[in-house]
Amino acid sequence: MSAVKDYKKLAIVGEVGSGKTQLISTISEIAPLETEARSSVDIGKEFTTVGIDYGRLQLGKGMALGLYGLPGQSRYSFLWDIVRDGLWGLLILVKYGEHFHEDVFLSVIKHFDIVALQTPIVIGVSHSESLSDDDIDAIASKIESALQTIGITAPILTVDPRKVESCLSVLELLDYLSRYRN
Amino acid sequence: MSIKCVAYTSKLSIDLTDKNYSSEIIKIVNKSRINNKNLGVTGILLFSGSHVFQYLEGDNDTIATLLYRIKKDSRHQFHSLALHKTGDKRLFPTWNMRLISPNTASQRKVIGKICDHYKVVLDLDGFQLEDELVKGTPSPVVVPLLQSHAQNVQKDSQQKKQALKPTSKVPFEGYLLELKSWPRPRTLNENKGILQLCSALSAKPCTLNHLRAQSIYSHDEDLINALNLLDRLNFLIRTQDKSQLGQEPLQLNTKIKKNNDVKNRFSQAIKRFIHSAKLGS
Repeated sequence: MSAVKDYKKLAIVGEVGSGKTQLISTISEIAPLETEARSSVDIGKEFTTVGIDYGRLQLGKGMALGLYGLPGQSRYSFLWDIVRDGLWGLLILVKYGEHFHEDVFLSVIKHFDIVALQTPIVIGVSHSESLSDDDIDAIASKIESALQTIGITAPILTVDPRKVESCLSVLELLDYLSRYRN
Repeated sequence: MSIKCVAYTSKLSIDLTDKNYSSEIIKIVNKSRINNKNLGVTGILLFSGSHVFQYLEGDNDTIATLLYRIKKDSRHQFHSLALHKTGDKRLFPTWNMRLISPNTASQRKVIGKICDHYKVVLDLDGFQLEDELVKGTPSPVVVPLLQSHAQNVQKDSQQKKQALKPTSKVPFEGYLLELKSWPRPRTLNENKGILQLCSALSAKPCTLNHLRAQSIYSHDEDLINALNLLDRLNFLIRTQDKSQLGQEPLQLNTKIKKNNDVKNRFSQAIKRFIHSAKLGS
């Protein structure tokens, strides 16, 4: 295998159950390195991410994109630092139906300094498959309002981390954003 | 229960030369009062010339939805957030939407009250008030806002006439185009062209020629239709292109595109990956 000369990173950050691990499993070309552990408290599922989930897309000769699933809580910000260098894009997954923690959400964006570094950012609303337009508008309004407080606007998409097409749409959008920023 | 408190300034696109201007403002306020009462929202509205300053307080979700609607309202040409706080009590608990008349003393009083309460200096972007007022230390010189209103009416009327003067027969030519905010998720999910166009418009102000050079749409007509859609839905900011960027020959833009292609090897690789993954799925 040829050495990777151009390696970039996609950070996928989200709170418990937002679908980070699933999204990486869906599109990663290698068997993802998952760091899930059995939950000690009831969080609505048996396993949760305790470290970094890692997947990878080989894009051609000497080029690859690393997929890093990171826990959304700011106590894990030391893990966010690991992927800051060479960051190609940031996807924040927001799980519909859970309380939207505006402060946690904003702390991720601030930590990655996306405004100064002009890092492409997409907000993905997961668990949104059966929602009406009004429901989606309601969560989008909350997210948009939070983004306004730090003076940015960003695309908000509904994402189904189980579906390849849906995950590829996010990649496609991040690519557009990245391309036009050059 | 915590209360979300926001304030914004905006430029209204109502025709200021219209004699019904005041009645239009009153109409907006009356409608707001009824809506706000039902939604449990309180606040104030100040206007001066073509600009408004509005302070709203209420439940977090309701305020977020209201802000979104205001942003999309075609009567608001410009909108910037001056305050975004969470508090535990309302500043104006009995006012569902109090209109403060264009009188310097009254306007100073309410803005001073907001500044004092939140211990902030408000940036009243575009709103015609003196700096001293914003900082909460009223100037002894009172400038009648009605006077500044009259000046604004004249200025805005001239600007509007100039803006409406056709610069070209092709729509959007002669303008710098920029994305005001992103369309809602369903629109983005269902329309790849709009997704790409919005990405280009969100990066920097573009001329029509720049957008053409990006080859987002294969037909010029499709690009114009997409821009018309964004414009109609109030997602687009149009400013007159004074830099003559739009006059650049298309050949130069093609060169820019070629240079970008070289720089974007990674992007090309991503595109190829997505294409083959779609074929495989």
